[in-house]
Amino acid sequence: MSDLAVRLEGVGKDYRHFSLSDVALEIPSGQIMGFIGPNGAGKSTTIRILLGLVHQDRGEVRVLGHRLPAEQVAAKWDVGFASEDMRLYDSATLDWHMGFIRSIFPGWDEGYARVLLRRFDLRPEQRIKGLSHGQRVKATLLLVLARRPRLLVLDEPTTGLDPVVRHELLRELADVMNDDRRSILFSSHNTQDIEQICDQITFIDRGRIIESRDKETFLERWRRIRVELPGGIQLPPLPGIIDVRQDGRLAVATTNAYDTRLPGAYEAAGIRVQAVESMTLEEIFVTNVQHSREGADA
Amino acid sequence: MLSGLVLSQTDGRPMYLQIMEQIRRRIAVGDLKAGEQLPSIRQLAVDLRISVITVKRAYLELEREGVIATQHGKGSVVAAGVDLGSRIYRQELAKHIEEAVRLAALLGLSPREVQRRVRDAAERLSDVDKVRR
Amino acid sequence: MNRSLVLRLVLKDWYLSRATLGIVAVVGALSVGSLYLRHGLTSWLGMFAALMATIFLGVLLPQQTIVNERKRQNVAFVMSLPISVWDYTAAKILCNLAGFLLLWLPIVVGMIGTVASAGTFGGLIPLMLVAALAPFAGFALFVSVAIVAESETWAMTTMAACNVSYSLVWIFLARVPGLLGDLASPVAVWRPQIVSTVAVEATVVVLSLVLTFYLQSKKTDFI
Repeated sequence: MSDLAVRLEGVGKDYRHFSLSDVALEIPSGQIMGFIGPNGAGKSTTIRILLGLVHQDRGEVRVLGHRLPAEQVAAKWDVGFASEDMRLYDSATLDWHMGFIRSIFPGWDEGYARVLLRRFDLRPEQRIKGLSHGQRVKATLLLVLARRPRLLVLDEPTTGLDPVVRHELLRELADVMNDDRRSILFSSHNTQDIEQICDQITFIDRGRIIESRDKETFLERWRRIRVELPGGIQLPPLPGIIDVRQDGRLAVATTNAYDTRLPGAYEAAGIRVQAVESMTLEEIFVTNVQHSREGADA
Repeated sequence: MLSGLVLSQTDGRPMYLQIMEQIRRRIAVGDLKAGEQLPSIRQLAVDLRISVITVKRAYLELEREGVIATQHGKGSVVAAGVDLGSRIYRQELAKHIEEAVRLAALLGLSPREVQRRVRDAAERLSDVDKVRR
Repeated sequence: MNRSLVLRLVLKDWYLSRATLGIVAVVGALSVGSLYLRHGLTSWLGMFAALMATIFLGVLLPQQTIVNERKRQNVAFVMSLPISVWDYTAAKILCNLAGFLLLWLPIVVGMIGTVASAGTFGGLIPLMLVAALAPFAGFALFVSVAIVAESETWAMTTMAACNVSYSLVWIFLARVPGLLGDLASPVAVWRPQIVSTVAVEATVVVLSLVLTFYLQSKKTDFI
């Protein structure tokens, strides 16, 4: 229990047009979790519950061992939060913001802050009002990174950033992992970034967690099997196959529980297996969501 | 060291496999010597900007293959083995041959056909060598 | 409650509203100064300017420190700091109240003190007190609504309602028989209607602040 940076159990929240139901999430200490979901799926709500900005209606939330929302102040000393809809003060400079944060948090690393200023190409004397969108995002991230918090919670930090900056951010996030007591939760639409750097991955859709497990298991279990059917035969339903697309004599079967014996099972039924392909996280995500929606709507 | 590893996201193969292959290559050509210490899992993950869990998997598989050895608390070292270089090449050759045979079967070629094509390819390679010299 | 953090938040808000505070401070200082000079026309002008400055501050300070922070999506940044909703509320109230009192108190003390020391105008004092407390009560209500309702519309509506209610207070007092006569008296006359009006104004201040803390603590969706 104490080895978990974040633990959500049975968390629910009801709004008029949307509900978060039975959300369960665990982030072990020293790991990065990627949070993927379509717009409106409940990512931001879940993240706000983690920060105590929204109180859950049901369920237990623990962040760095603290119970939320009751102990949110204690938690927030060690949590760095940056979200896409968070804004810094327009009329103040970046330098003022740095001084403000520095005066509050003892963990502020001025040397690292200077390094980040260089890497992110920001000038501290600039007013926030005069910064471009990308620069504002970088400024917000700088303020959060230089504190070296034990838990980083980032809600779509790379949205609207150019590839070079995204790359730089990933480098800083990877650096965080040098300390195995620090953890990161980040939600993003950029499945490529998440696939590269995350240890754990959670899919969320329509207020429910669809799947949450470590990345390698995800990539191991999902496969696309391309087959050629002899005339007249339909693809036999095999366990673990969740989607089949057929076009004439060629078909593609998608499985989320790949077993090395699966191609053999097809061959035994007289079907020729052309290829067994891994799937990218994006493909897994889209298929997973479609599959879960079909199941829910059925 | 291993900081020179370059991973490709468009490679199509899982990242842990790419890491394994590149480590094997370096051992095969002698850049990594028997008994040499490998960077810690966490350190390599940070350097390559990838997840710890991926590096962990690569190291685990390499250990299973006997290419590296892990001592609890001391990290991983390149396995001390005679002819590790050529063993790695032999393993790769076996994989490639399996793949060639599988593809040939898809095309409906007989084993004899496969043999003939391998011979043709070898001849072409030696011709190229002769031209170079 | 984390006192040093609340103080930092108050200073932060004052820094961010420095333009408004600066202008008001200069106008306020000049006008209050002119009051104490007790020189006929200048004093009247000073009183007028002081009143304007108070109204100015009473609207702009809550607008900038409370309403704009929500409108410009700065609240998430503030609430990501290690503070509770209680700390946030206390900081907002403190920042606005202190700013307002710093200007309003010298004005009121100056005005009432001037009249009192003149000796023969004591009858004016009760009504002056009612007039002075009215904007303060309105201000407290405005700040409270701005904090709790998180909406500019609600805050503005409250202010409009307050302005209307001032007129109602005057209408009510004007219909008290004998009140006009009290004004001419050299000594202050504290009629029960005056006392109850002052009590209501004071209650509005206290009640709105207390209710603010209570309602804020009940919120389950802060952002």
